[in-house]
Amino acid sequence: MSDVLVRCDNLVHVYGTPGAEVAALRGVDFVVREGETVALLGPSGAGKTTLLWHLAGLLRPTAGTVEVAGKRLAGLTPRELANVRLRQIGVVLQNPGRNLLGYDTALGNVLFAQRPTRRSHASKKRRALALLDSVGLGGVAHRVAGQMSGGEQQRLAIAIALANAPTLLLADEPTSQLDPASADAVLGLIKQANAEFGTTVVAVTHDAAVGEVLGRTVTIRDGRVGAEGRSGEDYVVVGRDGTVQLPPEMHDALPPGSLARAVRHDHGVDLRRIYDSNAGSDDDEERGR
Amino acid sequence: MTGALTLVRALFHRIGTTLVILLVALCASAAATVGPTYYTAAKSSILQDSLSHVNVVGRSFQVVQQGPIQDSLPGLEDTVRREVGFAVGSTARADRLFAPPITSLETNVYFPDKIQQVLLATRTNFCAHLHLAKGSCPTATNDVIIATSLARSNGWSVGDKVQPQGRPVLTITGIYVPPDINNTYWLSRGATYFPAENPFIQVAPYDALFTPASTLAALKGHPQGTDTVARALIPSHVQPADVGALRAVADRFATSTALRQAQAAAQTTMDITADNVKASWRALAIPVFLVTAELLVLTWLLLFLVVTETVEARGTEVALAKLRGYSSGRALVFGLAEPAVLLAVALPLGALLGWLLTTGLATVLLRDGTTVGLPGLAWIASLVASIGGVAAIALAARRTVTRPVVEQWRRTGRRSADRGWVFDAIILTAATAGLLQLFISGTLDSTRHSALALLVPGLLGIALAVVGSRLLPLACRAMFGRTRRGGGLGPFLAVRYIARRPGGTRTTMILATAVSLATFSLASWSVSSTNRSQVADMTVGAPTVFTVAPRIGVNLADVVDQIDPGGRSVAAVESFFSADVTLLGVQPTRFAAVANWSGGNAPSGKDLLSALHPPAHAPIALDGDRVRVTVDVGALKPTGGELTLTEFASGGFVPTPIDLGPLRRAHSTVRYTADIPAPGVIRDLEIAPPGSQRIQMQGSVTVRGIEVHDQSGWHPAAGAFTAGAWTDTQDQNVQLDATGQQLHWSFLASGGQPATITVHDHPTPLPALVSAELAGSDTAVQATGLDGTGVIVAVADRLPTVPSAPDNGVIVDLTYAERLAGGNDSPSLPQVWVRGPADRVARALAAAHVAVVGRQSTSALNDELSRQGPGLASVLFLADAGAAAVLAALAAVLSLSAAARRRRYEYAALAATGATTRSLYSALAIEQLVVIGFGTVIGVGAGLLAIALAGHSVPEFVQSPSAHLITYRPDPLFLGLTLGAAVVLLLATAAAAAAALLRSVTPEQLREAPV
Repeated sequence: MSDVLVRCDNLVHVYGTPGAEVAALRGVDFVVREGETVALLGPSGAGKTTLLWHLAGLLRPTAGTVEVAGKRLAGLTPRELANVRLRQIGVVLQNPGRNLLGYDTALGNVLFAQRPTRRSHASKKRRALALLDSVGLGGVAHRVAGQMSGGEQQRLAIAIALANAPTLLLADEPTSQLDPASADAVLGLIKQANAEFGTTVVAVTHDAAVGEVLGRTVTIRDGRVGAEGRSGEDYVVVGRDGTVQLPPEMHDALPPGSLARAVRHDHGVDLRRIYDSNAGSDDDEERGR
Repeated sequence: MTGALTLVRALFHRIGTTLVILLVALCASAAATVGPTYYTAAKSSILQDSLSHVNVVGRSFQVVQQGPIQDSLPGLEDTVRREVGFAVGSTARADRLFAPPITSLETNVYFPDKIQQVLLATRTNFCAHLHLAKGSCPTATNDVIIATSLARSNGWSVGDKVQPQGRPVLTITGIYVPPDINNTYWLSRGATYFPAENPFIQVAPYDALFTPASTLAALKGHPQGTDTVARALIPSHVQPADVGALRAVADRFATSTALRQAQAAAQTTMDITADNVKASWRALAIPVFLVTAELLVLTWLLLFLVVTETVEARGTEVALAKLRGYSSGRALVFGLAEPAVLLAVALPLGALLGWLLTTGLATVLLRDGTTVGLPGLAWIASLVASIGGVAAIALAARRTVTRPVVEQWRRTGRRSADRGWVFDAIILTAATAGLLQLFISGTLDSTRHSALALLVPGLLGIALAVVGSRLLPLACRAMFGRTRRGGGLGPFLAVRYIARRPGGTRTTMILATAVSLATFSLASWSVSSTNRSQVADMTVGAPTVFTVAPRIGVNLADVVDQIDPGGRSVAAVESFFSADVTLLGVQPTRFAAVANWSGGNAPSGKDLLSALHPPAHAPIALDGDRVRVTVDVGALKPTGGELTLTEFASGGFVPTPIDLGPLRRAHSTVRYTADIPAPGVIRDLEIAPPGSQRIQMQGSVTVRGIEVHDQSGWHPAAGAFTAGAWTDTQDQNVQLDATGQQLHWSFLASGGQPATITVHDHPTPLPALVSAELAGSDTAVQATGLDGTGVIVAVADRLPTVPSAPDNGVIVDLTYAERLAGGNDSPSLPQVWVRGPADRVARALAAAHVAVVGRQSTSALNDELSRQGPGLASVLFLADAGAAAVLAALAAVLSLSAAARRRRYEYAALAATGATTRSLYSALAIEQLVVIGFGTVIGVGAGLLAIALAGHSVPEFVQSPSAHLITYRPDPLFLGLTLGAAVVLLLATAAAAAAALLRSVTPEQLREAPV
């Protein structure tokens, strides 16, 4: 078993001011191991992006902790945090254009991301050109980023995110605004980074196809980790307080408001419905796990 | 290198913002630079103006020593050199400031056969300053050069030998033409050397003989006389820093023991010159400081606003840098590099721009040839101006470091808006306190002038702007309901944008304050410009006024008639100036057309003529060589009285009595003939008591003939017996009966006075137009006639101001005034007033033997007043406030555009949902119209209110003219047109910016989803 790269422990995040709070994350426990590729799935407003921002050190937890590479992000000084972002985290934002300096060239953008590192300019430039080649933008390295197509911009965003060979690549909806061909290309790049450099990937997505391509899926619902998928198999996740979110496709078996009996046995617990709020009668035959 | 390239690309990417920041920073730096640069140049201009206008005594010194003249000069020269060197700090500095010394030795010599005393003088390098009419300049002992007048009156010529009493024989080697005594070389000795050339000295002495110094040195018998050491300032060498030295020289001379011991005295008014220069500097310094300070504060705010907006606009890029692992320091450098670089570039460029602007202003306003430098103070001011930008950078830097990345993505801060009222409250309190202090301290008292009044528009503008800018969002909120119910999308969006736009109040506040300053400065400039023009017009009296010296026998009025037959552009004026009253004898119709009239209310020539020139009898001319008077003596008691005809001879100075003879017997006829000394006119006819006894005379005579003899024989004096030709001026119970052929005259003269009848050739008293202030409610005013004697004039009308003597002027008809003066107008000052090409008139006057000895012009005086401290300050205020208003307007447009640019996503969304471009444009246009219009209206209102409250306290002159020449009402047309044009231009710019912005709004921007 490889080492844990990311660990969220009972992560809570509340937006807003006193009297108008919105809990975006309600006690997330989440672990990503080195070399994993994880897709964060879930409906809009579930808290996926908030979780991703926490992993990037962009937000301070209301409660709980976030560790990346063994470092608790909330405890780091701004300089240490910047250093973690520089060396260990690459981020691809949802909107391709927002990852870029629109007025600079593709090469300039990659170099911009490399600027704080202490390598020589020549070395930086070599790597930047290699990265651009690897994302298929070698021929347009000197084109102004703002004039590129959406697909090109997203590929460039990935090159930028990988500029400093991060151990963790965080991507927010990397394919949401792309046509299928571009989306495939971007996913290929992400996989390629994982395969070639061992980059751990956490990507927020609505796109089920992304989830299929990545090694693991984590579904966030209502600020909690509701389910995980591994090797094509979906699992519910038992929360810290013992709660379990049933997958939506099982809601017909245990509709919201149902009474169920939990029956313990050797490998877990069976849930048996004893009252159907819609039918208004007991039904001992239905159960959910 | 990559960073620099990225920076350059970023600057070009945001070219509009880049240019606006650069422009604002440039203008801030330039505005700050202009004040000190302008002040330094203006000081030099004022100094040079003063040195050029002051008389020679005010820009030189002359030490005069009376006593033995031999061997005394070297000692005096040494003493003077030492004293001056001590006063100015060093002899080297003295040699820089002053031209080399001019020394002279003078003694009087007497020619008994000619009964003439003439000055024998030598003066440093005199040959170079005398124009030779004949011969050569003397170089040998006892050689002399004489003036043309002396040569002419004595019949002396080159080669003649002349011997003054008790002196050696002098050989005349040359004859010189008297020079212009106003030439600096002669300093104040010109009138001493060349008295014969002075048109105002009627009894002519003789111009000096000049000889080499050896002649005077060789004189025997310890001759007494005067030796002088004089040095004149070289104006171009005198710098503002030297002004203190001028006073020091005068003070040193006044207290010099060495001079006192040498029995020498200094003549100079350089101390007064220095004081006047400093007073004018002071009049400029305070306004320049205040104006610069006010504008600095405004530009600080502007820079702060613009730079803050720019840094805020870069928030997402800074957030991106942080996301990529930039440390706080690196993010700081990245985020603030653009404004910092622009400020760094703007500082020297702005200083240069300020220097160029000042050079332009100096070309128009300052004395020709004034050098405009860039003093150290200007650089400091430029640096101070950039502080606003630096403060904005510092604050933005703090935010850059402390604000979380996610918050920077949101683009707008939260806390600053919440705390905005604190800033506003501080400003409002400070402004109100400042205004109260100004009013309570009496600074704005209507009787006082104080440069502090220049603070009023700024304080008032900012106070009203703070209140107004807070009211605007409230007013817009009040419109929410109405715009929801109807009126279209444009107003609906506009009122909400205005009410909710962060930083909107700052835009309104700065714009209103700047417009307030600009309105005040414009109105103030309009007022002071009008006043300067009015004062110049009324002080000089006409566009050009020549002071002239007609050759004896030349009638100025006749010359003027020849030069300007049309009577519209030239007028002869004789003035008698006294401390209380100035009498102007004028040609009415010409004067009406030529003179400057207060408020442009020129009377018609016809009106002036009818007021000043009522009909009077024509003078009775004695234009021959003899006069014959025939008288039938009726009753006469006592007999034997002397009959005398009194004549005013042309060009004479006093009446000339022509004794005819005694009236020995009653009831007899006598005829007397006498020579006429010079052609002239009859003033009166007298019968004096016999033997000059103080007895009463009573009687009646009939004058049957007054005849004049000339080349054609005897003929009657024209008009001598027409009705009304004679009058009783002595109250002698006179009865006159003129029949056309003879004049019957009965009288009763008591107190030993001669029985007198006077030719009635002018009205008595003279009708006059009198300045209202002098006349008051009186119907008659005491004045001084052209002959220098007292005269009562009847107030025919009152004028608000009289040309050339606004408060104490009395205008009378020149012809009558001259007749009243009996032709003796020598004490008065002859002038020729000109409207139109003056040089042509000057040439014509010279051709008519009328020397022009002085020249004044309205434009020159107006220029001079404009170049005094207050005039220069008003232009500087206008220029700087105008620039600030332009900047504020640009900042407002930028701010509105930046706000609108941030809403492009929203516009794109609205466009995608069917909102028409027209309605979006309408929303933007209404927003800009309301924000800019509101700020402008508040600013204009505050500016006009400030003018009403403090306009009268703004200094306009170094020495205040009379109050009724001053208006405090700006020209409404000028003000309205200028402000209107500025507002239209501003709105057009805003509209263009809005249109350009909306053209770039496309549904594609919906991809740029806000975080």
